[in-house]
Amino acid sequence: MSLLEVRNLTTAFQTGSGEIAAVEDVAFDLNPGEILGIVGESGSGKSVTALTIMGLLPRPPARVAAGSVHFDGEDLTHLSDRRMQHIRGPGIAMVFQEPMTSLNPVFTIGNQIMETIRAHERLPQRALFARAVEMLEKVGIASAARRMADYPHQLSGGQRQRVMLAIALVCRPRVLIADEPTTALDVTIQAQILDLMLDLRDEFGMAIVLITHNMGVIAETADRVIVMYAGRIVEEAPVAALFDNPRHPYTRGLLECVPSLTTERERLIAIPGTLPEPMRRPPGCRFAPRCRFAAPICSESIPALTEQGPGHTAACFRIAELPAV
Amino acid sequence: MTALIEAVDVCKHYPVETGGFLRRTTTPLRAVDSVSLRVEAGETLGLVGESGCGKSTLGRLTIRLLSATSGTIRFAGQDIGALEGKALRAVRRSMQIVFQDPYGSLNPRMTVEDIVSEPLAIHGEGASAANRVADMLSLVGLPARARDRFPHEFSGGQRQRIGIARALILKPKFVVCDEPVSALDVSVQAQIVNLLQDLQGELGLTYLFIAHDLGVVKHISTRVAVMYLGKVVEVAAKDTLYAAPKHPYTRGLIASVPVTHPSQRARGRAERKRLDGDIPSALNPPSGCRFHTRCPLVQSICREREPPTTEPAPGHLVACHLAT
Amino acid sequence: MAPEAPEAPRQPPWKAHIHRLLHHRLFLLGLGLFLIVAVVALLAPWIAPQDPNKLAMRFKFRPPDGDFIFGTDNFGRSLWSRVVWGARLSMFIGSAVVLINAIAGTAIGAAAGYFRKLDNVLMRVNDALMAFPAVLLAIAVTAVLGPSVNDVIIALGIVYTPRTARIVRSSVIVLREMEYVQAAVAAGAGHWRILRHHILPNAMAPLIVQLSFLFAYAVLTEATLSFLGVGAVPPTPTWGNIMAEGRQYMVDAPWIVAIPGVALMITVLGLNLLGDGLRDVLDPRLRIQS
Repeated sequence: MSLLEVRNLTTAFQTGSGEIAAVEDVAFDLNPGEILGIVGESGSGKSVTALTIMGLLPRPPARVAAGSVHFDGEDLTHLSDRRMQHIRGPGIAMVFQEPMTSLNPVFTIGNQIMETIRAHERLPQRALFARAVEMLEKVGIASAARRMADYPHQLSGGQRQRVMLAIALVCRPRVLIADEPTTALDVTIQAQILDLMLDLRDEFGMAIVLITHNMGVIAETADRVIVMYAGRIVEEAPVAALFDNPRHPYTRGLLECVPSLTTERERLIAIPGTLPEPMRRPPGCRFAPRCRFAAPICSESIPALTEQGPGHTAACFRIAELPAV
Repeated sequence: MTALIEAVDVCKHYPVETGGFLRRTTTPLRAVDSVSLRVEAGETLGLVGESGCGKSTLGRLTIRLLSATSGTIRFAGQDIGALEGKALRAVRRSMQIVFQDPYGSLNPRMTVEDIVSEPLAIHGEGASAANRVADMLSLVGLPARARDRFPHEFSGGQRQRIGIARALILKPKFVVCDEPVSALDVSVQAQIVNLLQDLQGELGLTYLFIAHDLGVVKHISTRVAVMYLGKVVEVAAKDTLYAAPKHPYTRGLIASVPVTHPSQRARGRAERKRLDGDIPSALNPPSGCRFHTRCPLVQSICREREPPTTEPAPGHLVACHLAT
Repeated sequence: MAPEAPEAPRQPPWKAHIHRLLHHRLFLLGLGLFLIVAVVALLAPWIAPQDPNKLAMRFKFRPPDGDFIFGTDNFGRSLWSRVVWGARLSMFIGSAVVLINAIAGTAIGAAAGYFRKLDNVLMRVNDALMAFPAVLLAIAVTAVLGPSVNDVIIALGIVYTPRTARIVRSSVIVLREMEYVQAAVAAGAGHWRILRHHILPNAMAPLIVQLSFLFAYAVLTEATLSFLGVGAVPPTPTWGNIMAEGRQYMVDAPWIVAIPGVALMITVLGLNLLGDGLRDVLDPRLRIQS
């Protein structure tokens, strides 16, 4: 049985010029212990999806216009704030891209970790301290007991992200949502944090939703992948299938356009055009204006996700006619 | 080959006040510390390194956007450090920069035409601006009707095209590209990389391409220089540097790049010589070799003496006691 | 492979600001109040043709009625005339102070913010001037210069310019580091060009907000100075003078104090609402993201 079931989720925002759906008809399952990667660029709706699950979007202007998010038999989109607070932490926890602004600058990191525990459990001070130190050690902070008294500004970016992971994991959540957790970090530090997340997954057994724009991060960590474009899921596949046999033209474009250390090309294969703004999304397939395989039907209606293989779906009218990879 | 840009022993130090309320001391932050580097005419020299390594500062020093604390920078043989007034303005024509941030690098109150033609106005060539702006816009792939619009009406990739048009309108020889694609969405980055390459071929440009993305740098560069904490630690032709890096930092950096296919993952995890620890503060850099605190091969000499730059193979420079 | 061009019609950034201002209710209310006072001040010779200083002891202490719509004061002068001409003076003093501030504050603030070498000297003088309470400093300056309308303007200019300079300086320091300024330097632009094209136009928004509040302060401080007897000399019809004279008769003829008081309140309230509206629209740090 899956841990998290997202069904037909549509999240809309009230703006000066009417209501805009940031996320449309998103559906996926998250199984215990797996790492689900969500790939997308700006405006793809990947972060809004995560914040909707966490119930962290301000309402208004945001609103769950349709669909449900089931966790442990409860629909999170209909929970009271109070009940949701109990889920955040021991149920679902989240880490963000910017580790500086996610930590409160006026409290020590020890204080912030212990505060998180205290919100969910009654423990004597000594036990609280021990739990926090243990957690800091697990995320790879050296001489953790001493670092408990440090303030966020005394830590480097990588250490702050480790502390964020400690805060997220200290209540042993069953789901961790990581929104671009390594984007603000240098590449050597990114490698450390990704390895750490894999180790922590093995140790705690939680499932991870890893949101990123970087296909390399997906290749390093994910078990299963969802590709989002302009608010909709365009492809979902087990990670190997996605890289071996990408079906959607956008997925193919994403895999081709980024030069890697093994790329040997004179010119990069670029995806033409720009990402549509949320209020100016094209009718029909959102990717059609940039797609080199687009046909008239693509701008008329929105393609549904169709089965491409075991656990592999893609939303494209032209899949049958696409050349082999 | 001739060096278009030649930096010799260049330092850029910033005074930083440290210490408590009563005992103030000024410590120099050695953003760039005694760096020597050549950029050959017609090539693209990639400059990589992690945040705070001084790559952006070095880029700005090479075009005199910053003045060096010490050392010499020559452009086509001419020492640009001593230039003032008219002579400085004349040399600026030949050296331009493309910035990272497509939002902060365009004045929000100017139209595209005003932005792109400003360098012409500065150099007293405003009369020919209209035609040249039109040519430039089409060269960077913007429609002619873009000219009387404002920056906020464009997407990040299009803004970057405007910034490139501004940098190239004076027909410079040397262009510093300071992380020109890292703020863009990945599906747009390739367009800008291709555009920069096309323009280089058409206009005979020489690039100093600063980036932290090793894949992009490998794609676009002729040679690559690696910086760590204000020092250039290795310079080599692109293929040599990626295939046979000699400095342990370069090796660690390359090993940290995510794999390109999940099938490489297990191998990647097992073999990854990942670099432990954090980048030390440039205010208080480690003694000896600055990399010794994170180096997997560290020896006692590394803590004591700064390694000299050697040339173990022609054109391959490395600053490491252990490199042969 | 030409990228998509934006579909929106050409729209300079200020047009969006104007659009938002026209939908900001409190701004419109403030603008309305201010415009009423400004129009009354401009039309003073026509709507209040009676000399505000003409004595007519037989009419003294007439409460507002059909003959004297605002009543008369202790010398039988028409309070309507005095308040309307007072508005004219308040508007004149406010505008002049704002003008002095806009020029001197921008010059000093831009110089301090842009040229690091000048910063320390200019800002220490600035701090010293700002350390005095505004009214005390204004009294000290008028004591030296003498009590006339022009001297009050100079005094208020000296009092408030340091505040404006500080605001301009802080914007300039931020703008100086913007990459488009760096790009202009790289293209060979001189200091004057950079200040004129790149820095000052982008520093205008907080300055305009500041100047609208400053107008209110200037009107208020001028009234305070007059009330304390160190502003324009009586019988010059300033609101402060009218209130100072009427103070003794407050029990028997409360309208003498109340009417200029209400006029002052309307002006200051209008300007503050106007300034708040401008700040909401122009100052992105405080703008609520939609």
